Amino acid sequence: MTLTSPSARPPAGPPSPRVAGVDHLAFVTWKPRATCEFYTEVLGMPLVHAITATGWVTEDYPDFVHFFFDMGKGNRIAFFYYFGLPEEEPPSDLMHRSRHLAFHVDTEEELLAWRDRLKAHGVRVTPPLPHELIESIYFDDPNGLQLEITRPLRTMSALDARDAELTLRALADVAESPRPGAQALWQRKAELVRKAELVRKAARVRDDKEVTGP
Amino acid sequence: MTLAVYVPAVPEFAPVVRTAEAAGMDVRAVGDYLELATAEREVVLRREVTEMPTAVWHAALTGGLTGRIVSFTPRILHLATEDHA
Repeated sequence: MTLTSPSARPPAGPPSPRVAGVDHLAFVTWKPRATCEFYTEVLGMPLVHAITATGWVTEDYPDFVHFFFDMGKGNRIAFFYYFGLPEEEPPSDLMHRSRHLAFHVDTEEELLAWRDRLKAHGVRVTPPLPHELIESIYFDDPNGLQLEITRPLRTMSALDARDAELTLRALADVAESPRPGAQALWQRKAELVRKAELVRKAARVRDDKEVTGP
Repeated sequence: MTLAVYVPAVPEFAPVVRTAEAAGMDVRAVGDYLELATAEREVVLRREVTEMPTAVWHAALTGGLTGRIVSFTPRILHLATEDHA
């Protein structure tokens, strides 16, 4: 993401390196049996790799098992089980809802089929909830990790990216202000929208002059 | 200053535009956005005018606001110019 002018050019030099999606996401579990059963039998994600080792990473690192399930498209979800590690308190409701993992399906039929499958396995799952661009169902894994399965309601467009650019510019300004808040963000966003329109109009006038000449 | 709301010109925000029109606001295109504006010093948008997902209603101001929020509930969005008491 750049928060500079869209016309700003990257510095010359070798091409920037790019990552190719997710290799794995890692979480911690205190319930290895339930976790393995949930991911393989309910979600149908094969167990593809497991490491067992002494805690070599730091001086007080516990001995551990690190195991991986295949989420598809080369993406894996992994868990650490640490021997002797006291179980953590569950997160607040807000953090539980915020830190989640969403799986993608293409169609409404697939979303509803997943809902049926989860219910058939006794998993508590929400009805489909439409957002702006996606519609989702939500449920928890045995560790209390919130999972989501989502389908697109429409394709993301270049307009969405331009809008996001203005939103994040407004947020960066407002978050550093004495009184950040949604209203301040929306007021700053309106200023940026109008400014972007003035810039667009000025560019159009300039282009017209170039075409018609002096 | 004019009271105005900006919504991205994308399908999911069409119900917000219809709700604003029902409240007497004027609509014009401004780049990637639709500007919903009124010369009145305050306006009340009512969600019941259209069927709109909860998430979209609560994101109705995501494109920007010239003015201030008097009240934003699950049913109404009451806006006023910044200088209107």
